[in-house]
Amino acid sequence: MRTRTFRVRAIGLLATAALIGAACGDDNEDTAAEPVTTTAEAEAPTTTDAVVATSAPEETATTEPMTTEPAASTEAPAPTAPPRGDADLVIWADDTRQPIIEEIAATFAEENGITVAVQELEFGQIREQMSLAAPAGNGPDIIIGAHDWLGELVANGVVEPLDVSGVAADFQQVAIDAFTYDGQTYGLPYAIENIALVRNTDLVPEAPATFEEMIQVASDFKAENADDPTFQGIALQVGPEGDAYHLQPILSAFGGYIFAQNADGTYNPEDLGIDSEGGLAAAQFLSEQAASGLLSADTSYDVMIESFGTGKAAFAITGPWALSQADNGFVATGVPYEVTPIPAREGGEAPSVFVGVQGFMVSSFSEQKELATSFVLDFMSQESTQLALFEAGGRAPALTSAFEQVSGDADVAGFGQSGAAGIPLPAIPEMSNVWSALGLAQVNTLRGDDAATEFTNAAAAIREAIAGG
Amino acid sequence: MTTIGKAVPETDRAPSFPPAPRRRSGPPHAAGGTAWGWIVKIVLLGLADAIAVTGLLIAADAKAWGYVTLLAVTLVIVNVAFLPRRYVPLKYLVPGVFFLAVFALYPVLYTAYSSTTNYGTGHVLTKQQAIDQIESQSVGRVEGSTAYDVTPLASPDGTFAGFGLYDPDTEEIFLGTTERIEQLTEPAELQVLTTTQRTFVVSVGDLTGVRPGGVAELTGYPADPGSYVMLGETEGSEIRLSGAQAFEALPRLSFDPETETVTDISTDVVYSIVEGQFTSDDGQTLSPGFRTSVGFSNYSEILTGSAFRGAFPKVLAWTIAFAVLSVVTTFAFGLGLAMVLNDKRMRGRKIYRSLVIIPYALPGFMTALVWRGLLNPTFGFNRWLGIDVGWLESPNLARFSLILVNLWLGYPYMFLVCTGALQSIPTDLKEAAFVDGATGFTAFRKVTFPLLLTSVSPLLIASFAFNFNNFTIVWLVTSGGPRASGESAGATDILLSWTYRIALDAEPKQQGLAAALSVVIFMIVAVLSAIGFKYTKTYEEVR
Repeated sequence: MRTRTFRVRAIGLLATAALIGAACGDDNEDTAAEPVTTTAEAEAPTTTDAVVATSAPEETATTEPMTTEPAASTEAPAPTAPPRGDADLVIWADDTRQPIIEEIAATFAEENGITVAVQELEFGQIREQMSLAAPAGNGPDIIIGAHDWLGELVANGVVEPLDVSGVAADFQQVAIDAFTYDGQTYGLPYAIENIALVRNTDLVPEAPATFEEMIQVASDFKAENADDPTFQGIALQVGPEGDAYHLQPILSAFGGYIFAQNADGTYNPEDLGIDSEGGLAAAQFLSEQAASGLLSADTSYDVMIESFGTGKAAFAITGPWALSQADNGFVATGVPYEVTPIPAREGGEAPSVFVGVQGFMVSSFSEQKELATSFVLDFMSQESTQLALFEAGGRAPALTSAFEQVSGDADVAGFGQSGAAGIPLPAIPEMSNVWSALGLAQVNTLRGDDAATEFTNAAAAIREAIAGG
Repeated sequence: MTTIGKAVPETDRAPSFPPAPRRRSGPPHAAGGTAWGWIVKIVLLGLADAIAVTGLLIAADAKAWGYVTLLAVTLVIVNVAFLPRRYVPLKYLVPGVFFLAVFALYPVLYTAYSSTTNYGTGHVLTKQQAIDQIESQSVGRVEGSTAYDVTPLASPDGTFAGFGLYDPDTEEIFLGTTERIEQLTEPAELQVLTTTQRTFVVSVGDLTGVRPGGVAELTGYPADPGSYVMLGETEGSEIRLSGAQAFEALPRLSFDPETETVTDISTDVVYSIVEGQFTSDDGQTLSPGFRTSVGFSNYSEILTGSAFRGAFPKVLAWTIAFAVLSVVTTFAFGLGLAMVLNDKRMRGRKIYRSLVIIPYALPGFMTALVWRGLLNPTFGFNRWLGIDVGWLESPNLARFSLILVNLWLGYPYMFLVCTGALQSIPTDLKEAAFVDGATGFTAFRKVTFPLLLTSVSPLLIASFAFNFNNFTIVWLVTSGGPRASGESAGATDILLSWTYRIALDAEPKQQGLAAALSVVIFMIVAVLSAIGFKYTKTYEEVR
């Protein structure tokens, strides 16, 4: 009992320390009162659970930080934002980009006579922590993030509009569009990423000309290795929650869509196409392929990367991250592959994958807004910095001139071609309802429920949520 | 919690506790021991005070007066309690009360408070912060205006002279101050920065450029350069900084503190406050909103909202079933093992006991993830067994699987508890039962089991309360699924996982709503536990 009580107290002390730490660095009473509440919000589940654990000590290990971040299980990310420290400019980046940004930022720091700290957070945590830490005065000046966070970050008022008019023409149009929300631009894009068809060139030497041919080749390969479930025709990750992002090419190949686009490229939440004729045809296709064993809700990201990486899959539908991942990425395992766009159905239009854009955003609570804006707008828009970031992440640069320099790279060209037919990942808040409801319908369909019912129900649930919210 | 509960009756029972008799009847190590004890106490207390004072200074620096008061009061109480030799009961009570307040009362009260606010996505800022953001973010560049490269300039006496504005097209330099901007025609030294490609004015006439790192030492430099407005050459034009540039820019929105409304200067549309959000008459809103009290509307949402109405009874029923079944299965299995391994005829009991508690020694969340993998129909143990069972796919099978995993994780605890309790039951009671002609089973049912239950039933109730909120295992093993499309709750969702999915795992996040649900769950657990304790009358018997 004693050690347990001690542990509870230790957690509590940490929480208290975090509270006190969050209280620092404010200069008016209103914001000084705020960190108490916001940090406590993040801490509360941990401490409450710890108290429960004293009375029923089974599985004490499980009760600690898991409630705040259940998805990240193996690497425990910091549940709170790191302390700001005393650097003039603080940047939050994830582990792949942190080292390179630190290196690039050093020259900026030197030329301006300032100090820059690049803090490493897990990518999803940057989004989570930004809304908590920034209003409390413990936030960064600059974050690296994805454009589809804008719906949340703008609603929370934690990112600053940027006047990109001076540099917009140098960037790919889709990238600037993606970072434009409600008519204002909130970030400087640096990379574009999307999924494409990755083919094992040993197993399938020629890229399939049509969607049907791709399915035929995949089905044949699957049939040849029917006795081993680790062999896949198409390694397409779905997972237990469904995956509307990775299944978007299938939805669009059949003419289905999530939200229709207006003439100016923005999305119209009133026009939902999940239960349109094309949407239901795609649902029917999922149902058939689940029955034949080609697609499965049990294929997670890990299964996908494992089976294609070890040469046990004819195709994979995935993004550049699967190539560059350390240890078991496709480059690391040495599997022979080629990246091509996902082919269209006979007589149909090319499937439109979702294009995600990553970029730099400035905190609207930064006390060095001028410096931060200059870093983002003037420095990160340089060709040399965009190329350096490409070297580190392998994601296609958003700056047109930098993209042209690296488009000789076959992988970049392949993903680029696939993205050319793509549409920006919608950033509108209504998308959160889509991810959960459509994902669920996909999983249930793949598990044998009636496809039309599932997709119709999902569409009804999304419409109700949009009307109610 | 239990430590506190015990501390109180003990001090109650002590007939008198003046410090004097204690000291007189003190143990023989009196002289030297006390001196050392005194030093240790002073050092520890000094350390605690040092930490508290540091916190106090930091809080005072941040003008967080609530914290300052709290820390000051705590500091005084701790020193009054521990410094003099008097107040012995206080020495026990103060830490207990302190930790109770920090770790039990504060979260509970804070959650209750949050449940009456609209805190969540779009409502994270205070009202003042939101107004500041709305006003400052509405500043937009006047189309076609010149963009100057900006350099802060210092006078020869080291004070801030204004901003040097360099026009890259005409190569002219202006001095921008709160007065009108004026052209500087003296010879200038310029430098193009290698990182940003902006032009830095090294010097112009007797003014020198200052790098961003040097502005802190520049007397008179504006605290918030973003709101420093320079007057342009034409009447009414305002030049503002934006990054390393400056251009003519005007705010579009303005807040009126009298009427508490925001007005769009260009269209004259008025936005007034509706539930923490500036809203126009035709329903257009301005971002960001702010955090404000919404009374009991989160609670009425729980009672009437479409996401909750139908599903709540079903989820509550499964939550109770899950908690009860988890306790019953782990207790039955743990007790059975404890009885078997408590039998002296059994050989190698120590080895078995060590093996049995292995699930307890492994990190629970890792085990839960391993189980999730094992239950995967394609890649899990179906493959080894050559069967095709969708362990997590049909509702009842998923519920069964979840109970199974929780049994695996929970039985070693029950085994340990029962082993201890069994060993504390005097063997002569059992022998007496045999003498009276009882069979083994009757002896267990009439003697061993009731005695066992008196000591373990508080733990069973605690275990029930714990499993009632056992979010981790549900989330990691089934994520609440399987879930029919169009329903908000999955077959294995307990109240907490269901709450998490609705209020926190989706956008917009609704922390206020989640807090209200937590309060409801807290009340349910409190009532059920109270009933349990009353029914078993455990406290009295344990004492």
